[in-house]
Amino acid sequence: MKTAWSSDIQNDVVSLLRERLRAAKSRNSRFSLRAYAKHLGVDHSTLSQVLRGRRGLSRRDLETAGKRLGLSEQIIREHARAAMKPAANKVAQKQMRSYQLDLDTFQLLSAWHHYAILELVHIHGFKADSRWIASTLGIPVEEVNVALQRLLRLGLLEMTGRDRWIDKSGDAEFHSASLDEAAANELDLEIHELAIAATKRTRGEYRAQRQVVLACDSKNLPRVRRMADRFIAEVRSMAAESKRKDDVYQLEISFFPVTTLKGNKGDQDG
Amino acid sequence: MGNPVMQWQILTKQPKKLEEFYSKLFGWEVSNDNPLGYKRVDTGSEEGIQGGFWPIGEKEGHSMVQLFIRVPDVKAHVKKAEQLGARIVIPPQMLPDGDEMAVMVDLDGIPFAVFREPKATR
Repeated sequence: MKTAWSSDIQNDVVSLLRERLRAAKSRNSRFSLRAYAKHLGVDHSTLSQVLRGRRGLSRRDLETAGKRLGLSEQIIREHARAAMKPAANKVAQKQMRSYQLDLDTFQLLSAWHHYAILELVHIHGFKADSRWIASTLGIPVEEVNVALQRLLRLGLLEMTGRDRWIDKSGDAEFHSASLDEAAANELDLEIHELAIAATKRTRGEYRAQRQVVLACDSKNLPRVRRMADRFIAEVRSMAAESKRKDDVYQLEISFFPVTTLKGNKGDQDG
Repeated sequence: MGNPVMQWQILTKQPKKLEEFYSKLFGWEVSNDNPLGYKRVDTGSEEGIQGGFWPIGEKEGHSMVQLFIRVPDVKAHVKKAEQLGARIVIPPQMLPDGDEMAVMVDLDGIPFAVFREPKATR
């Protein structure tokens, strides 16, 4: 189970730091590490070591920099917890080693079918056959093969026999904060299109879709996000316990205004 | 024995277009009737070597030709290549058709693959 932006949280933060620095440098070649550190509110020599993988961020630095990076409080807490227990996380870190993706690679992987391929590997009746995968996901064989090459290159998939492929991606989360808004929107639209296609194609008893329209205080949005996180965690847990997996599902939770009252793009106050 | 170059592979962003182009130009026959849907090329000649087309993503480098070298031990050659300075792109994999294969980049940035065919089919 994984979202389109899944990976290890620790790697997430360091990758994100690197990506933001690179993005800033591409906009302004004179942008310095010192200026970046100042912006993040951390010591520049510490930041330098963190970026080179020599050390981790302290809890205080993480909280300061995390907020500037736009990370949620939950992600910051989880990272801090992980940083406090290095020994317990050794296995996970080893497993997640390949997730230190630059943003370009990460965005390449953001297309839903990469994760669908990795999940297909787990289901009963999986066939190690690009033609079967293409037919099952409703995409061209070429697209499957491009994705396979990426997954193999990144160590997220391993082919170990004629009929045996292994999903090496683990089951961690990579926060969407590493995507800029345009890329995140693109991903959202892609998932909505999948939902529309599934609604048209799949009989009602094989899918679950619920809707409600309600008036609400917009200040509750952070709470709704936390509730959505908890629900997703619950479904993930249920799926993990499934003894016999026979299909791959997309879970998407949307909570958005149906009016034009708030948050229109282009409005100064957002 | 040795370690012969057994196959060429064109990595391309336009596999269908190139398949058509080369088929028209040289009369090559292309078949993708295999588990990976791999576009195998039969040049129609017993001379030279055969090849194939493999798709790459729009933003993933340049289209190019890659050589496949047959080796008796893929893992050993990957290790040796790495010691000599090669970079591993795809570590050894057992492909659905039974081949074991790994892709590396040489010292000049040129990608190449080593593979071993399944013993049963020899």
